[in-house]
Amino acid sequence: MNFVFNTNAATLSPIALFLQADWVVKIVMIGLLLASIWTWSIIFSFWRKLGRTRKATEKFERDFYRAEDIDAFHRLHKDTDLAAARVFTAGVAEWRQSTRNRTVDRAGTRERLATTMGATVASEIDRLSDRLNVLATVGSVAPFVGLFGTVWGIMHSFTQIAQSQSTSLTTVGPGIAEALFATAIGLFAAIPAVIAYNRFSHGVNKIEARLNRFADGFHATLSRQLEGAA
Amino acid sequence: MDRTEKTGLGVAIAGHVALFALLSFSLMWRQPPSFSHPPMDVTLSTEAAMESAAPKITQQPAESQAPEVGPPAEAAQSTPVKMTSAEPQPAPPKPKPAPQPKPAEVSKPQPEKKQPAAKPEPKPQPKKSKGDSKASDQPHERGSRLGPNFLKGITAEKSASTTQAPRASKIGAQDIANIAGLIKRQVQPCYDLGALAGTSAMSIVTVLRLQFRRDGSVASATLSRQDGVNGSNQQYSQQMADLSRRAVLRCSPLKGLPPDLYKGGWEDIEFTFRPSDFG
Repeated sequence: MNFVFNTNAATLSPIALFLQADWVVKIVMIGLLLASIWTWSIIFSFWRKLGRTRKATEKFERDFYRAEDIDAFHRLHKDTDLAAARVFTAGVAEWRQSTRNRTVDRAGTRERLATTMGATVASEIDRLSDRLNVLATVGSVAPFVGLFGTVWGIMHSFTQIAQSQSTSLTTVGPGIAEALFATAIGLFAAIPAVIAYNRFSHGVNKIEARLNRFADGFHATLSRQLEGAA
Repeated sequence: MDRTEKTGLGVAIAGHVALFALLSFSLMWRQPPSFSHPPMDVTLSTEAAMESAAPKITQQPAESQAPEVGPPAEAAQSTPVKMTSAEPQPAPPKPKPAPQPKPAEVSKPQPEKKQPAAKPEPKPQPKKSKGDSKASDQPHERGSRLGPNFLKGITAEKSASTTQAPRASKIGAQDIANIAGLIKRQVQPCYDLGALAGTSAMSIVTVLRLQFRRDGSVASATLSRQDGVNGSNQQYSQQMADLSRRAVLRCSPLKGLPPDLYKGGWEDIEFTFRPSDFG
């Protein structure tokens, strides 16, 4: 085994392909590499965040339906950093505000409760899916950027043919290999991004549906409470 | 950026660096097979030029002519000159008479003069012996004996040599083959069939008449003839001719051609491009 950086163009060593490429192709390659790193960092963080959110939401709902006293439960979970907890807090806050007065407008209160909790769910989902658009962008654009690098690199190697007056494969081959490497990096960045985007948007949809169900359940509870209070 | 994203970024960067290093270090190392051939070509061409050309020039004429002439050993040297000079006259008259480069052939010009006279009549020997100041007595004796046989010998040799050497009659077939090999080896890299490779154009054999300057550069390359042209590849014939000419001109100063074989030798030759050999 030989532990030296292999800079010969006759191999598939990425560093050799990178070093021998034209500067435009180099910029494209660096950009795509950064995009790939960013994509993977989002994939890792999103994966963990999604898993944690799912588990915590499950636990929160279980606790909520078991809780005897909603006010005590609210005190306990007022500052919990969780989408379901925020929906719950928003519902409780709206409820308190609406039932503060003597005369309670029941229909208006129900409507306000539904709207407030719906808005909170929407904003929580927005916050959760914030980074998904990066994945979508990388997934759709990276192949084109790589293709641009390839086209540029191949043009470059064609001008090299003209300069060296030789069409043999040994003059053209390395340049084309370098150029194609740009597309390879583009696909390397795009494929995981697209897969992750689909997976994660599915996960986010599931969480959104769950939050909506929770909000509806809580709304039903409050609505019943409203009737009793009157 | 919260803690989760930071760890995510760290993991992503570490993963990329690991993958990059893995590919850049010797995992994809498949060099050795591709590095074996370059040195061979260089040594071959120089060897062939010097060794094979020089010795055969001197040996061949002497060997082939002496036995046929017969007894006279001393006369052998003067006779070859005659015969070679007799050969050229049918085909290319110009190159032979004046520029012969061999130092020992002071006696040559004289035999040549005699030949025109010798042709009509079968009495060349007596005349020749008179002209030679060195061995005037011996040639006389042998000349009388040789008279009739000698003429036969000339005609026989003529026909044999002309088949092999169209333009350069002075040079043996071996030398021609060597020169042809030299030229072929140097022209081959410039001979690029391009898109025609593998098509029916491959069966077209192109013969070019090449005229060289003394420094090995090509003075002119004209199409002499083409063989193997048929209905299916007729449209390629012009292309193949151009391609062959271009190959010669592109490699133009050819190196290593023996200078002593220039006149009457590779100064003006016909060279055959057989695409299957050049591919």
